Amino acid sequence: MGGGPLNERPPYFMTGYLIRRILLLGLTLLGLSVLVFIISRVVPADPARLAAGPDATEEMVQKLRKEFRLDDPLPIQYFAYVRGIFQGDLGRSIRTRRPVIEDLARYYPATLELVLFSLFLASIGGILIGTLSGVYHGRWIDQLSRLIAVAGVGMPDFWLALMLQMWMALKWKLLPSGGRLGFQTPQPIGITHFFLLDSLLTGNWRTFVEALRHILLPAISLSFPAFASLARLTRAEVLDVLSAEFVKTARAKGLGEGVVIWRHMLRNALIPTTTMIGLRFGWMLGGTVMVETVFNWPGLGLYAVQSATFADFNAIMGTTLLVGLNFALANLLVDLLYGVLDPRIRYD
Amino acid sequence: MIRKISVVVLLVTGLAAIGLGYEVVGGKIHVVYGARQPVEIVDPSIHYDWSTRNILQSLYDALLKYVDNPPILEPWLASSWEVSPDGLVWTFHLVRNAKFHNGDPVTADAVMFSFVRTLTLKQGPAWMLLGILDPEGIEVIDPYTIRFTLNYPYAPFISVLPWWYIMNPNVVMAHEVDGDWGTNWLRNPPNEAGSGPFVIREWRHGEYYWLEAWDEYWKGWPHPDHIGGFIFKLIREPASQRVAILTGEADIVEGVTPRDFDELAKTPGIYVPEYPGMTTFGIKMNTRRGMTANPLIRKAICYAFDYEALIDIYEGHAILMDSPFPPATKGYVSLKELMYRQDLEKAKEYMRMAGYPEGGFELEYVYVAGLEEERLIGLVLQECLAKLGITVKLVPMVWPQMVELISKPETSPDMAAVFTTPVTNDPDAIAIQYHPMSAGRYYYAHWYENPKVTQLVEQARATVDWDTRAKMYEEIQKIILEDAPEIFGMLYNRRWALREYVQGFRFCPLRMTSEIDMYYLYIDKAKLPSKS
Repeated sequence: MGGGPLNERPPYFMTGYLIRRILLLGLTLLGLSVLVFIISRVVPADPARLAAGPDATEEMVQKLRKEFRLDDPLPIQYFAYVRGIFQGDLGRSIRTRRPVIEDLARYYPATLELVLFSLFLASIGGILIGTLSGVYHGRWIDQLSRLIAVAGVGMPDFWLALMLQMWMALKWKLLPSGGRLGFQTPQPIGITHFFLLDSLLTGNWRTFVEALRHILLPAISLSFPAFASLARLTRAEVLDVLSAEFVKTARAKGLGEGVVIWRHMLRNALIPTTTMIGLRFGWMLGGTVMVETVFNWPGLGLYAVQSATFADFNAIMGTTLLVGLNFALANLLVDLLYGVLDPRIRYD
Repeated sequence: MIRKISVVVLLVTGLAAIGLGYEVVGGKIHVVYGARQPVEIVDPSIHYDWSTRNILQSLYDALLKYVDNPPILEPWLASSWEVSPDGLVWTFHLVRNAKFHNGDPVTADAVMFSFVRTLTLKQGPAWMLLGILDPEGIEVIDPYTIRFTLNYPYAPFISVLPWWYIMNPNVVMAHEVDGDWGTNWLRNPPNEAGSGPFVIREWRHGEYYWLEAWDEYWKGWPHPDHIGGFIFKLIREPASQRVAILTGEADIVEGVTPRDFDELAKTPGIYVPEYPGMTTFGIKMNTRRGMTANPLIRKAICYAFDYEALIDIYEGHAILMDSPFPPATKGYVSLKELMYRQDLEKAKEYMRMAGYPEGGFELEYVYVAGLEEERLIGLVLQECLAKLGITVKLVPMVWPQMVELISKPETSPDMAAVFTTPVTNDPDAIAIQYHPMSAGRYYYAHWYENPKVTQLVEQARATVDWDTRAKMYEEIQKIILEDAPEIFGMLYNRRWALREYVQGFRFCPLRMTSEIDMYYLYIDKAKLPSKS
């Protein structure tokens, strides 16, 4: 990455960089697969014994071990696994006995929808409050934002989730306490498998409202820490940019305060915030389990925890690789966004 | 603009005020059961645990069924049976009106298919009969008579039959691929091949499983206002279960904290049935390795432990064991006079006899990480054994690792906190836990072996006459108690919270932990609040 003349951006500016990053991503995932494979195999636990059941005889345990090729030497198991990945096969879960890819396809969209919606709430709220408290620093909105930031950083998400559930569902009966849709609400046609988006695309308003009602509490719980830190970061960046020469110039040119803030100042202040959003996406994706537990959200977090409880090696591998891939892609996207936000940034 | 926003807010929040809870479908009430454990495999030959059993019991029938408390074996698909005097040959006569959900009759061929399938696949409940019954020992006498010839006399044979569900061979084998006995098809709901009282209406993995009553159930329904179906809804967090029953989003819950159960019992419109189950808690001591290999040390530990603390930890919702067998077991004998209770003088006496009057050693207590009750029990143990000069190190461990450690005598911990639930009330189900045949299983953490007990267990399971067997089991209980392979702890009560309009709850200690037989539930319409 390096500086360059303003607005000078040849069409090929990112191609080499993209190829390098994608190759690097492949290597990262390969490294991750080796690491997780070793960890999942060296843990002193016998997945076959656990899956066979508490009363299973040794013969039954051995049968399952053979079926899942757990007796093969570790390198052979690993290479068979990697070969499978290239054929779109992540192995079978010893707990659910289904192909892991089938399980991931079932649970991942629910988690991704929750994370993206939470990130959306956190970003909009965080940038808005952060900008306002930066522009009006020292005023009441700034104090309020500081209070929210401290609460957001210090408050565990599961505690907030339980409190929201108790007040919003139990005491005030405003929103449902869990799930993704009501029992008799038809699921929208699966275009993206995001219920909010699919119901919007198909004009299914009843399902949209139901899906929105169900996602609100888990999304608020999940987004709150991110919202708080984004607000603080944006505030700091806005304060930094406020005294910059180009802002003074813009004001001197007689531009309206709104244009100065939203077009000139914010665009420059958003670069670190974008990095934070990218990082938060990865953290949220890997950390939904508590919120999913409290709100019975049928997502990847719960699947991962149950897989770990059963030493379900293939499911653990599949989940970790998927989360790792998301994390890496989010980082790549953030890096590419830098170029959009600041045309001086180019990739050689 | 403000008006538009208000409309959306009203829609989103206002709609929530519509009554939640049970669902009404075609005028029938479908109740919601909030439960913590998911169901992943719905194939009777492959897997069972309490949540899976809750579904299997609703979809399938077996030859016999456990009901009531104390448990009795009720004829179900079998109307009668006889056994040869030597206990080898069991003949069952089937009811003639039973039919599968697709209308096929339930015949002896289907029974034979189901047993052969489970025995061949060697998974799920197969362990109960592997080596005892071979596929060749099963014979169809006529469409409604089946005969099992066992490899050797095995008195508990009949007690395991409620776990062997009967599947429709026509449906299962129509989906067989590469000799898989239809497993890849049957494990995936909504696929099923049963004859039970419910059929699957909707299955959302990770969310809920919706079963509806089958109006044509061959055995009929025990109550005219039986439930129209039930939704087994996953609510993993105890606090969320509490919220769900209080808001009415669930009609039954099973996993709230002991304190919340107490609170719910006092809440108008909710009742909490409470019964002693079959699940025992014991602290298993490794009898093969380390200090606990010495029976005198084990006895000292048993006398030092504060048993009443167990009841306190469960806030009064438990009973102390007074025999290695739970009271609901056939042949159980109360050994109150012989049972260990806290007596520090006796404990110190045993420490002196063992050659450790001042203690001076450390023992590990391994428990499942996250189980608060087990941790509290560990603290009690720590405090009690400190009085003997024994240091107790508390080691929390995740269950998979604990199972692995326990599976070998050289790695099994000094002391391990273990809950055990027998699958039948035949005394063999408990006695076998003290037989080397159980080596490798979690409840054999003590690695206990007494040749006399081993011999008695083998003799008793091969004896047909109950009175003779009962005497053997009495002796077995006394010897095990004397050998003190574990601190015999307590049985905690099973509890559920139900909305008062859900009636017909029938407890049977042989249902697994939180399992409910949904067949008997009905709606008391007088107590039913309207969905407004």
